[in-house]
Amino acid sequence: MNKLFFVSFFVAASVFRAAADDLEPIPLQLPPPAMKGTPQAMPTNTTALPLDDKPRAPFLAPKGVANVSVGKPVTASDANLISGELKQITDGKKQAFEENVVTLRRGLRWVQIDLQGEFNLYAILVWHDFTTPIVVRDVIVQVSDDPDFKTGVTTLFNNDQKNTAGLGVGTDREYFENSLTGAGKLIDAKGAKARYVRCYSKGSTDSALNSYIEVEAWGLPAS
Amino acid sequence: MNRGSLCVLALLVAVGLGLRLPELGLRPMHNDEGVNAMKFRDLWVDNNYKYSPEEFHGPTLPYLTLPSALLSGGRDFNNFTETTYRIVPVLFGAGLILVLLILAPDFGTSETLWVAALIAVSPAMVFYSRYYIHEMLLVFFTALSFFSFWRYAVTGRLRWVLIAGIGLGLMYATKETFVFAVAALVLAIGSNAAWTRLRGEQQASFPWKLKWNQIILAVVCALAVSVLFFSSFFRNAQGLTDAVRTYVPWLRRAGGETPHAHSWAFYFHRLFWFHAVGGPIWSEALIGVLAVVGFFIALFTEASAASTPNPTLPPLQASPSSPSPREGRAGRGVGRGASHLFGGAACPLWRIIAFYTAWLTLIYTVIPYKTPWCLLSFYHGMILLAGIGAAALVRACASPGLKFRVGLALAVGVAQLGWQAWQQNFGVDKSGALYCASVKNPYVYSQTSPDILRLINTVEALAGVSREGYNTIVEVISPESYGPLPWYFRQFTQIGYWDQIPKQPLAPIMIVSADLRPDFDERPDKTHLMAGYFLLRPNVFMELFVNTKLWSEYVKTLPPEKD
Repeated sequence: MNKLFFVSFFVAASVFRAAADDLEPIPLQLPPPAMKGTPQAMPTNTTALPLDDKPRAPFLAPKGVANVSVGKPVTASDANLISGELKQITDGKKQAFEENVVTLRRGLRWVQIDLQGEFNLYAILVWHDFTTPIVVRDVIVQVSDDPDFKTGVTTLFNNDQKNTAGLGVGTDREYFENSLTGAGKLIDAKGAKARYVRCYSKGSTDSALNSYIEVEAWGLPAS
Repeated sequence: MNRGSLCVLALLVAVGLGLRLPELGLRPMHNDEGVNAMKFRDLWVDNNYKYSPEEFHGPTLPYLTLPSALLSGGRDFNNFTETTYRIVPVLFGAGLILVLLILAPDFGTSETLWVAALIAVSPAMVFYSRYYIHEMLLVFFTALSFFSFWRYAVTGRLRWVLIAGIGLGLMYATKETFVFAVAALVLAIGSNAAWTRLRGEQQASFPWKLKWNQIILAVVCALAVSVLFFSSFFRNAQGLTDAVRTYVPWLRRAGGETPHAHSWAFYFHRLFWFHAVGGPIWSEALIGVLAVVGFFIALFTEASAASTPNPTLPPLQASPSSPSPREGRAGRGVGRGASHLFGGAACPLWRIIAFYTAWLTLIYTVIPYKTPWCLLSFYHGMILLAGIGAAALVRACASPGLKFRVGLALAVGVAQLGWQAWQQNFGVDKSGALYCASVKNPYVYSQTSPDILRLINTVEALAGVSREGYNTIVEVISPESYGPLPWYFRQFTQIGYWDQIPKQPLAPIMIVSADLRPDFDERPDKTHLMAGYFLLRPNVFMELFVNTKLWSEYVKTLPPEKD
């Protein structure tokens, strides 16, 4: 019995070690924090966990994973932007500067990135405007191999609990745009295979408008 | 009191009720109110009320809620509202004005009317008259007992000592702190005797028309009343020993083993100068100043037979400065300048009230355990002294014109107190938040947030879409008090309360303290979502977790959101 236990333990440990050897923290380049100290007037009508300035734990993904969205074309539900240009969403500039903010009109809006190829995606990172610790409403992140998102859609994140977008009741919590760390929101994509990434939002605790600074998709070519 | 004075008194009772009665459901139930309502449930639904020596205070509150419940129309406990409960202290708060009639013959008519006006409008008295806790009942029974005891001491009539005894029994059966009032009264009578002797006055310090057999009868009445209540009307013999045993835990709390330990200035800060950030300045300093005036008048005014309003008081030797017998009470200090405020004549009653108030204030100030409603006991004494002070200030005016102006100024001050009382109970701040549930109000303490009503409404709506309705399983988990949620969720039959997360399958609806950092929505099976934070009390957040299928059904009932 003991022998069987030790053999099982050895096999399990070897498998775990092999798996761990294939993973490494994704090499994120975080922007600097937008503010220091205790923020004033935090929004309270939210399901978000309290804001803190602790760094996020490293996110492990297969070796060689890279930001496959940088410089890729971006489209949106709304052609009439209030500020910025859509290409800024994948330009790699993530500082919380006014000139980096792309603003879409009020209501439910989406931006979509064409990765120009199929990828196994492991993490999606979204930076809305994190100048102050706001909560963006009805954040939904989907991936698909269909540019119209009619087929093959996988929802990676959805905190639209009242289903105002009509894409299903979200079960995820809201979150603060963390101006204390600049870490952005990291969404586990679990290796989903897709070419397109679409991010929805519907205003925030601060404004009815929809603002983005950067979206990153980290993955490996599907082939 | 003549008919005109009685009409004024009746008008003041109406003013008092006008401030106390409206919108009794406006403020969310406080934790203690919710607990008291659930103790009433033991009596009403199960007929199984038992006095607890550890918590919850005495049995008079649930028993005296019975008439209100009976008259409320419905017999179903679930249908009782905040008004069903809060009407009880409202009536005792107004009764505190009426009970002055017992004292008026010896206290003085104008003094009585000033006191009635101040009780009617005092923000503290009004606020806690709308609070379903024991305090207003205790103050009322204290007044009933002590005023009746004074009437007995003056008249020697049996009925007054019996009422005093019954009142004492009701005090005992209302709240454990009644011992402070009794101790303060005994100390006050002793202090008055010592003070009278110290000043070399010839008057009697107390009208000792007491007969020991009648006193014993009163004590028997007090015991009989307390036995009735503590034994739950002979259903719970254990209650009689518990009524004595209770002083062990309460003494520990009074000594500071409590989260409610506060500095000596706690009560005075709230009463006389309270200014929270972003809020207005609240102050009952008018009553404080008048009480100080009344205190010194009572102490330094020598009593005389001529001034004694009640002829049954023992004859006293008139002092040289006393008004003539023909002037009677009205002659005290009237038109003779401020010096007569301290050189006229006063009934020993005033001095006993002065000493009683001083001792009781000292006791409550020294004890570390402090909750703001406890101030009512000694503040009632202060208001009695303020009545003496107000009446004396008007009398001290030399001319009728000045008398009118001083009286008018005092009346404006009283009206301003009434305005504060109205604001504290019905007013809103700049953000539209009610003062009656805001930390900007000096008498709000550990108050349930109006935000919790959102939680109640959401859970009610979830039950509405659930197949099980009010039989839906609900778990409330919090390491600290979750009151008054049991009262708000009284219709739910399958609701449970835990102080830590139980090891069992998740319930469809879970209300969990944010301090426990619940993560039911993070579990891989995603059976639950976190539907929001809700503020229970200041700095106490609850998180609502709902089964995703139930939540989806609920979402279908929501009106479409506008962009």
